[in-house]
Amino acid sequence: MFTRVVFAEAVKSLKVYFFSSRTLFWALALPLGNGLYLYFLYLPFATKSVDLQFGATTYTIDLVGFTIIGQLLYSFFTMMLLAGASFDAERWQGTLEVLLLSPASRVAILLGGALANAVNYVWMLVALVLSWVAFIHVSIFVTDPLALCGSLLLSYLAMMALGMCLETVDVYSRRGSIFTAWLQEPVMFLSGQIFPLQSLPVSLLPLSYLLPLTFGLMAVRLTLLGGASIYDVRMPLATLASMTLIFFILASLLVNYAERRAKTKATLTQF
Amino acid sequence: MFGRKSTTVIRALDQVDFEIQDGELFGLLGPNGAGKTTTVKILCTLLEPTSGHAFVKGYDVIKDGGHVRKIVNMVAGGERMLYYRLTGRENLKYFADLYDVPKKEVTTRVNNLLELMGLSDRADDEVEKYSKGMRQRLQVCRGLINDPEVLFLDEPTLGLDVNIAKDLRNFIREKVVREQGKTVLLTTHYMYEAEEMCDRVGFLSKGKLVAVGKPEELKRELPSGFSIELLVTRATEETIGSLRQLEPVKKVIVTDYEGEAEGEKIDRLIVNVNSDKAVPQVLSHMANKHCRVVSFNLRGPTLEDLFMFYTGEK
Amino acid sequence: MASHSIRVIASTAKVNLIMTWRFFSWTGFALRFFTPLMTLGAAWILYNVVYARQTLPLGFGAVIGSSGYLSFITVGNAFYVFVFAAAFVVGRVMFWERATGTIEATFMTPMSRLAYMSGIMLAAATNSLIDFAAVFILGLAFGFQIALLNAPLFLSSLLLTAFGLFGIGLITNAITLTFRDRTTTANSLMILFMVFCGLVCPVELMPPWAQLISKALPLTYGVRLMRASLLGIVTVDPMHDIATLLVLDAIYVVIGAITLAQIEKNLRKKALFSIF
Repeated sequence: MFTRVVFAEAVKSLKVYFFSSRTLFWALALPLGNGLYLYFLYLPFATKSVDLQFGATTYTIDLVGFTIIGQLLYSFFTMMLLAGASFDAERWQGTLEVLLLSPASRVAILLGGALANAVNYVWMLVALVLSWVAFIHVSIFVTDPLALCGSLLLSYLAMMALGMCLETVDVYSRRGSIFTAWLQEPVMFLSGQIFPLQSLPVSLLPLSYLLPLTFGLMAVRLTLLGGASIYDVRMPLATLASMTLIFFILASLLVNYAERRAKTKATLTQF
Repeated sequence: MFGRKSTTVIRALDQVDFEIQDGELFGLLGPNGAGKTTTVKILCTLLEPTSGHAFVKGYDVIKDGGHVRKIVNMVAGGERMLYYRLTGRENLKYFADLYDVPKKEVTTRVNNLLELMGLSDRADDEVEKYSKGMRQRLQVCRGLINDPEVLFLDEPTLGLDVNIAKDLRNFIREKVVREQGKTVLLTTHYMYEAEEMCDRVGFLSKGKLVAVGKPEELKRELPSGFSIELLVTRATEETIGSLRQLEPVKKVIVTDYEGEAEGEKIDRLIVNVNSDKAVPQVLSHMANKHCRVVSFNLRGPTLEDLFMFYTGEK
Repeated sequence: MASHSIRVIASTAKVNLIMTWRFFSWTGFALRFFTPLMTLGAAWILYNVVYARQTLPLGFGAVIGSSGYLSFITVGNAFYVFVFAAAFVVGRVMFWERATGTIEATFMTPMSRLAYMSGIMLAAATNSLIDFAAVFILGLAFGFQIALLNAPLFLSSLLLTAFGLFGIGLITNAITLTFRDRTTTANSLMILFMVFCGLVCPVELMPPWAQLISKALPLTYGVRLMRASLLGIVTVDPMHDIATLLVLDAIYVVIGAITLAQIEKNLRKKALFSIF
């Protein structure tokens, strides 16, 4: 039953949200557009590279690569937030009640929606390839393809699990999508997406370390642009794996709590 | 995955042609999908017909749409059409502005309508906190806010409590039509509602207008004037077939009925006969066929009979 | 007719402000300061920490004169909030009305549709003024300095840009409704303005193809005029920018009004009022 629900929800999410020209367009336009924004943000500073400090090592990363990777992963994170808004869509369509009327596992529903985003993720990687074509002078430096694949996969899994947690807010409250939308800016600021993490005030670093995007950016930038090996990025990879597990468990607990609260407060039909 | 599905053209209305007189309460009846809502939406300028013309008080709904909108309003059952985050009063005031109701009349009119619909106490609560019946009553207020000359009611009692629905029907018939002289087009698939309220009715079936007229006149056109409602057990296909062959019997309709008598399933038969004198013949026929008649009821034709006659549907 | 239109504008603006306030309440008000805080903070870090003010911005000094980088960014940021008003509010209003089931009741009335949309823009712009002020207030903490204040130019830039964005919002509304789109069109518009209007980088420093796109966007001129009015940065004659903005505004509003009428006609013809 669990896998059946996961599959059914994934198929529904794909049919309703993914397989439309505008979703496909957006999945390409978002990282490219935001990447361009970030590139223009750096443009006045007459620089072609960014220094990333990781442990005792300083990696010099191509600026365009830095911005595009940042935007790719950040865009995926944004899409995870918007996927959370699928519960919001259920709410104003009036189908949230009927969804929660069923005996289907709520975690399975969350997981199905999140897995559907895997398709988005792949499509966004296509955007990355197109970006390389557009900026043909970008120098990638991969010495360990396994490290790169691991970085991409674990980034996806960790952000997916976080997305599941955030989606539970939409079950609880009609303001859930507002809350998750507002998360975008602090995540952008704290994750090292705009500027290297070492530039962030030390007092804010603990907040950064709560975000899977922080470690995802670290791992993917270093393995794709900095020639890092799997041993070099073992810490971010291990953190991403742990975060996946923790957020998944948290999502399972939160969704039931959110549902009970929403039913007590009779907020399921509010939009 | 991305290919467009082939488009099937559905003719929602087909050669529909009728007139409603000033001050009349006209009922448009038909099953779901017959085209009732489509008709209403064309007349209140929410839809454009593919061909043909429609006029409201002499104004073309397409060419003079702006003018039509000033003199009509619509109340729909089971739909939102209200701003949930506004209070009842705020909703009405807003629509008063959109309809350009004279400013000095707005407050009085809003208060009167709320009072009329029994919503004064909750007027300043947000609509999302209203019950379904309250929302429907507020919809009626919204439908009358501009004092329309023509009011369209699209299944206005759908989902309402029996007593609320009854009050609403009385209000529309007595207050809106008789007293205020407004013209009302009511759509419904509740036959008793149309029977209770309407001066004239029209039957829509699959987009076609199959009959128009006063209920009494239409009933006279039924092949038979009377119906015997029979509740029987042990009625076989052969029994019903032979019943149809009887001389005074014009039509036999078998309808759903839930119930049993002494462990046997009851069937409900509506038998159209040409005279009330056919009753003994029908009853004895059933007895001869070893059917047990649980009850029978002789009645004159109803709109339901008309409906089934014209549309062939239950 | 004119008095009814004014009434519709005022009434629509009022109910939309009421509904927005009821939905967002104090939490929403407080969170309004969050976004500019993050954006300005990022710019501050970039300038003061990453590049430690060491790297001379490429031609930046020549373009912006003596004004500071952070003042430059603050003004760009402040204008961005108007894009939100146009794209997300005006650009999606009919979609949202359709989704919540009120579109038929509203469009059955004899109100002027343009007046109605103007009321929506007025409400959105009023809300945006809070965000606008928030950016400047927070900007002060990050180093924003007003070099001079040319009030007429300041107000002109604000009003003219809002007007042009209104026209773009009308067009976005048509696209959103036609394609039954929820956020893609509005988000795309946001990115377009964010990237090409010189919000974070002088237009003069952008590649030629990017400058071409920026010429078609009213926000480009609005931001430039506002920087001229507050920071004394004059790279183009302000009167030239005002004239261009007026022309662009007229074009966008006319196209927007035409598409609005067309979209309503289309909704009627194809029975799409109640399908979302």
